Amino acid sequence: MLHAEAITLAIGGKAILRDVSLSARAGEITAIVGPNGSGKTSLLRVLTGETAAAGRVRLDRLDVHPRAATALAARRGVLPQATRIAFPFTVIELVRIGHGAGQHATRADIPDRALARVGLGHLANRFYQDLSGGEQQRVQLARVLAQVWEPVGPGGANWLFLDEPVSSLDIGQQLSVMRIARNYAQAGGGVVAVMHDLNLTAMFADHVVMVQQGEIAGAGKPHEVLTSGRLSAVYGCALRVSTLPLGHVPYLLPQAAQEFVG
Amino acid sequence: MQGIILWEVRLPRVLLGVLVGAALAVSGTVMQGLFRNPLADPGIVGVSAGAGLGAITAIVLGSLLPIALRDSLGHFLIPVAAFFGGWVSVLLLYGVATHGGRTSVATMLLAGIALGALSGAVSGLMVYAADDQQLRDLTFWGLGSLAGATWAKVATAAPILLLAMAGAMTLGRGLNGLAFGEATALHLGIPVQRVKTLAILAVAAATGGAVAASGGIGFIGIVVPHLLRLATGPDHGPLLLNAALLGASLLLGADIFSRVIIAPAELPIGIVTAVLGAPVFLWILLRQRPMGDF
Ligand SMILES: Nc1ncnc2c1ncn2[C@@H]1O[C@H](COP(=O)(O)OP(=O)(O)OP(=O)(O)O)[C@@H](O)[C@H]1O
Ligand SMILES: [Mg+2]
Repeated sequence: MLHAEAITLAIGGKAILRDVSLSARAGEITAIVGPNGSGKTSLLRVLTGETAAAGRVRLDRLDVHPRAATALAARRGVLPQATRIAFPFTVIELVRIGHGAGQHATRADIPDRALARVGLGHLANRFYQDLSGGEQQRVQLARVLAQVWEPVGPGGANWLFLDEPVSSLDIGQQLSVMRIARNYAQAGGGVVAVMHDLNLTAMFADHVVMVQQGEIAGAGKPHEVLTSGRLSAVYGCALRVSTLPLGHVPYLLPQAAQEFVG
Repeated sequence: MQGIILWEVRLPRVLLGVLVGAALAVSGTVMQGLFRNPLADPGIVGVSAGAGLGAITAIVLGSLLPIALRDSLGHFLIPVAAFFGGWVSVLLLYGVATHGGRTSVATMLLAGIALGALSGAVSGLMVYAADDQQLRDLTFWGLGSLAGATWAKVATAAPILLLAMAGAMTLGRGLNGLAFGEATALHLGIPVQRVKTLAILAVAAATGGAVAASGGIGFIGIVVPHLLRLATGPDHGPLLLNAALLGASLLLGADIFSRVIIAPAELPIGIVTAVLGAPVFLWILLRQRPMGDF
């Protein structure tokens, strides 16, 4: 269980997050959505202990804080929105560094399996810098998976924190990465993902948290949060949400959006 | 007679060469890991100049220190002063060139030039203030060679250099993590602040100790890690250890070369390492891709 209470963050006098509280359960995918600049990445940074903020974040019984880096590394992996790497590491070397930071550092088969999981086993010995943007993003995901390979460890559920994990992927890879996340959650792990694609969010998320200008604008099941009214207000353009007949999966066609008037 | 030469002249020179070569290569490796850039070398970005300023200040103004302090430092006064000069330089450089966990290469190189020039200028002023005896000390020291090696010098340099290298050897995992940027290093469980502090201290001690013992010998710190990265990849675990070994061998080789090439005269070793190193530096600059601008 990830629990954040009354998170408030200001950088250089500018309020970035105001009194944000949220919970995320292991066994579920929790999606954080919201417009550009609304504070999703900043919130994820607080939830992973990268940034210290007022308020309190707990991962089970662990206090999440920059000082807890070592204890946290055994429990959760973090995929940042963008990663640049100094020095010419090969793909497999890079995945091994993630693997070495986790609790299964002695199981030598994990890096190769993590790379195979994202469908890039054949690139193991290429230089990371020579890969395409989408391939780099998947290698980073493999690095994160290698760090917390088992969804449930001795200390409880392990967690994936993913900041826009599908932002540079083609549609096939988007689906396959979201399935990796879903499998991880179904096996008992926790997943928190910042998402821009509302359709994928509706398809895969169990819990959606919507952020607007540093505040929570809604939280709940996808069909509860992703409503025409709320989306239109938060994103500042008229959006119409439809629902697939099966289940409660909402979907959204950009074609159905009109310029916001008034 | 030959035994005396071997024992009193050759052997300390070999040992000092091994220690200094290893320390220079290791401090280059650590510095490049810390700044996430293959161009960061203590000689190029002004850290050696800062250490040199520390050493010169100690030679010229050391007599002004309280006698108690001077006596307690003894032979270590110059290396300790060089360490402080190097330390302040790395701290300044890191503060100027790094923001939010990212290092700008352009800023680092430019700040390094400024820092080196400033240290050089103040060192020049110190020379004006020196008396005759001190001038002799300075000239002797400033030759930038292993020719002045004595057992006393080895005994002074060894503890500082060995300590610096021992500290550096623990940084492998930390520097690997820092290659991903500070945020990801933290997520990988690396105590980022501690790694950075230790890296800065190790660079300062290794550079300071080496500069105090043998003056400024350039380019070992940039050539060695670069060659090794080509051979065994950028993993800092093996890199640090191999850098010590290759640095020692390389400086020893350069020293032998400098002694025999125009024997019985001797070529300053700095010339040899520069001829070897400058082309490598230019080559890295040429090959540097946009991604290097971390
Ligand atoms: N270090 C910083 N200094 C100043 N302002 C910052 C800093 N980091 C973030 N901000 C500001 O905080 C706000 C939220 O940024 P954040 O990166 O969290 O947005 P986001 O929701 O992730 O956006 P996107 O969808 O574009 O990734 C933005 O207005 C941004 O400019
Ligand atoms: Mg973001």
